[in-house]
Amino acid sequence: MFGIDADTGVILIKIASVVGAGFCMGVGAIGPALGEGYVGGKAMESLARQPESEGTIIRSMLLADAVAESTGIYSLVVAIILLFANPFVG
Amino acid sequence: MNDVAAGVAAQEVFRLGIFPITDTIIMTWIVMAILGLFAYFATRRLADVPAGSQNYAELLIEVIGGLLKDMMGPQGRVYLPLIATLCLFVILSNLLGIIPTLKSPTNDLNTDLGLGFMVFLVCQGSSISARGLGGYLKSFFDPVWYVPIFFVLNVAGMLGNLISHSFRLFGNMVGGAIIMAIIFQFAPVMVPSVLSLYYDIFSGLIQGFIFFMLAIAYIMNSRG
Repeated sequence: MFGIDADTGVILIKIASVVGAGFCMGVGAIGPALGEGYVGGKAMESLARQPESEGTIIRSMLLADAVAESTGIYSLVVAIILLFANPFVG
Repeated sequence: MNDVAAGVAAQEVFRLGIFPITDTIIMTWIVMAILGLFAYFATRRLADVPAGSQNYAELLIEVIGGLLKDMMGPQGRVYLPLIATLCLFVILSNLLGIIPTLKSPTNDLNTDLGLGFMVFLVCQGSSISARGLGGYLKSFFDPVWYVPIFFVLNVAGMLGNLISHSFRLFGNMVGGAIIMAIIFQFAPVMVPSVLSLYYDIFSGLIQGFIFFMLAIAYIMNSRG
């Protein structure tokens, strides 16, 4: 296709995979970073208001962080697949 | 780049009939042996006034049982053996990666999916036991049965829990392991020991904690 031989094609796919992995991780980390920052900030606020319930607040904060992090973890898995187990290069 | 992947991913060691035995399976056996020996020696001579390793066993069970009771109330007592085993197994597996020649079993997606699938099955079982078979089937059609899109959403949410639960542990542990392997390549002395505090110890403990807390939350949700 487009007059490209097989070796050039494989190299092009590799370049596209590396660039794609970088974009995937960079863009995919924006959402979790915003979400976790918001959760952390709110936890600090309620910690300042009620210092006696520290254990519960920290525990709930960690759980909410973990849930907010899922999409970042998905993009990490996609980036790892593109870098180390690329399905497009045989 | 490829030797980094080879250091992190599971490698086949030998074959048992048709089943390939990878090094992460052998690491799982090591974790099982450590936990089993600890449980045997801690409960060999049970006494009212505990001595030696019985102290540690009681401390662990009390802390985990306290967390479980805080979240689920007295009905959570049934799940204590499962949750405590999950907690000890995952945390010990994560921490096993500190020793350079050993690998965390949780670096292998098969281990994480197995653990996640176990929690998924327990959720279905406790949903049936808490609501009855009719209530369990009806929970697929919440909130109203005559709109079929809710069925799709409920099933997708259920499978999404399973996938995100296991991929979260896998992604966190494998990401840390890859960063550590890359750092080991360009700075083999001094630097890895400092970063290992975060990527192996802190992240391993936090991920183990999050894994079993989320398991409690999913089971609590499924009981309705």
